[in-house]
Amino acid sequence: MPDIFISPPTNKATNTTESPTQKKRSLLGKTLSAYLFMPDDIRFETQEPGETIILLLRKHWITNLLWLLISGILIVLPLFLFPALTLYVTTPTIPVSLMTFFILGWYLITFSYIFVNFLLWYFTVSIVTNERIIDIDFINLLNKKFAETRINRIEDVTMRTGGFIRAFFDFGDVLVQTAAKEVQFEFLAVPHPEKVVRTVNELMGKTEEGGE
Amino acid sequence: MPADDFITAVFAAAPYFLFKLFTVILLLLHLAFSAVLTRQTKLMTTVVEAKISPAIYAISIIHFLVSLFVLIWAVLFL
Repeated sequence: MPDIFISPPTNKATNTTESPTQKKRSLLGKTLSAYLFMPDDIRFETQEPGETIILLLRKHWITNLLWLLISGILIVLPLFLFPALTLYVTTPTIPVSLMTFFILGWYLITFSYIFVNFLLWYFTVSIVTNERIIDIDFINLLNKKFAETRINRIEDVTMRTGGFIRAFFDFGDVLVQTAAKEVQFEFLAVPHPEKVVRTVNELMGKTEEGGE
Repeated sequence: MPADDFITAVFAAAPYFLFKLFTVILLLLHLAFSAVLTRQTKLMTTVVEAKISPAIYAISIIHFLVSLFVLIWAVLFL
């Protein structure tokens, strides 16, 4: 594991050999990743000067499977439903304007559903910096929960995983116990929980060394 | 005239008008929802600033505009 207090090496030689398509794909993959180690292009609202993001975590992509499946069905369904309606419902004939409206309305609502679910996933993040742990939870569109604690106030870090899917896709919950009033920080369904625990423990060790 | 008789009479006289009225009300609600969504997206993108944040905000604005377009379309052509 790389030392989190040393900035990651920039491999310029390999970057120059990447094609534009590959670069675009890796940038998209990096942007939509659920586990980002020392991301240099992300900032958060309360970031202090000199504070570096060590880890940025989102829920594992597999947790989005249900709404992705529903979205897929919602996208595909009119392709079968509306031709069937025009074929079998002949009396009374459905006006073209009504049909167009149904299609427009259907896809508008489908897009709203996809967009809201994506936003809730993308902006619900847990951040580990060299100074703090921050948990930003968007419970729904209108409710946000923000919690933070200093690294030196952390008492215990544990991980919880289990079940076939979690083991197969390597994700689980990381629980951070603090000395502060907030009883526990919960990073739910994050990828590579053992790496997260190791990183936080390493940070705690460095902070203790620095404090002594 | 009792209320249920009145409703039955309106349904019998102009079913298409009632359908259009309810549709427009629903689309107005959706427009309000897209406005809230755009506002919330703006807030979310300030909480966590990433490279794709402007693109996400732009999508929310497009979503609002499409919602408005569907409402206008329904008023004019439905």
